[in-house]
Amino acid sequence: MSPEEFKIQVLPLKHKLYRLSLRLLGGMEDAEDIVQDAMIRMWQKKEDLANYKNVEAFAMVMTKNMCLDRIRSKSYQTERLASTYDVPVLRNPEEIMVKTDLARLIYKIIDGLPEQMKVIIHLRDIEGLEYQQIADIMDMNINAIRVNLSRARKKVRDSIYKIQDYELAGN
Amino acid sequence: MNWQEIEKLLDKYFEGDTSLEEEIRLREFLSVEEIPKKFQGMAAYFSFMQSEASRHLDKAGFDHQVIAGSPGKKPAKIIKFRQQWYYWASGVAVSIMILVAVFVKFDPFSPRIEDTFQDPQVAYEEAKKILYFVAGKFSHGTSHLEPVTRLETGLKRLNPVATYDDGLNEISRLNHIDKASKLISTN
Repeated sequence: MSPEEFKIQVLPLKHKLYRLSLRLLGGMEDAEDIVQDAMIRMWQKKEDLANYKNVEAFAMVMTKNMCLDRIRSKSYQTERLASTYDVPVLRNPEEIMVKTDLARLIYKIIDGLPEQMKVIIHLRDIEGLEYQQIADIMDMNINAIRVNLSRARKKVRDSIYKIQDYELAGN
Repeated sequence: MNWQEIEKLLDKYFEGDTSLEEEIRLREFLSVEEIPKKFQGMAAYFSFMQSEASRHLDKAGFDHQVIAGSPGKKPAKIIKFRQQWYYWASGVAVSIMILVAVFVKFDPFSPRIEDTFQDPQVAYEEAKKILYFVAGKFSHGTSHLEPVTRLETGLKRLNPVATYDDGLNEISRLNHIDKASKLISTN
């Protein structure tokens, strides 16, 4: 792959890789570092990238694995006290209070899922990938992806319903 | 689509059976203003996921750093503690071996003794004088140790304490009675 092709095909993936890292690591700085490392590695072997059938899937797998390595590293475990949710910019200031609280809750629910489910629900419900693409990234079969996705969604749903019931009960 | 249909579609969604198109439709329906309370939680979920999808990496100079191949923060190569320990230990061991080899070969610190006496008798007298001097100092030193002997007499007085031990042994026989009574109570 030529430098020009890399700039057009690979560099724009940085946002997608960043979102995945953010989902797994929580911190913006950590996520940026991982994406930068992943991009540099790919830049260094850009000549070989053309051999990959799906560069995007390759980049996602690489980033996911780097994040998981980071999570398992001792330094990360001692550094990470609690995952924080950085609130994205909301358009309507009046809604900020309510939406931020809900967003925080939903963020926490997803963050509490096991890593595999977290990645699968992220790839489907945020990135909107097809089952086959997710199966390639996760190195699992489509059926296993569906089962895990369903479990993840149900877990999220149950937690959301619990909060909803609590609010409907007059709190 | 009415709310009943949405509920059905949601059920399909939770089973992981919806297509991407159906999921987009679901999200669009749940983003309307007036939503029944029942669906508000899931509406918030879809809206959260959509806002997450719009997150971008906005790091100044990111592309340039990738292409230049010089990251602002290059990840430090992690050397595990154990590896470090081996490096250090082997380094120290090699240095000690080299030092020992040098000392054995050249022996730079041992004093070179040269005989300054011509007559053996004179040398003998001189040595005797020095030994007497040392012996004198030595006996003078031991005189201060006399109080230590008093400690010994004190210790002798403590001898009767040993009989206390015999007494304890006698008492230990009581254990048998205890065991016996336990046996009786369990039977």
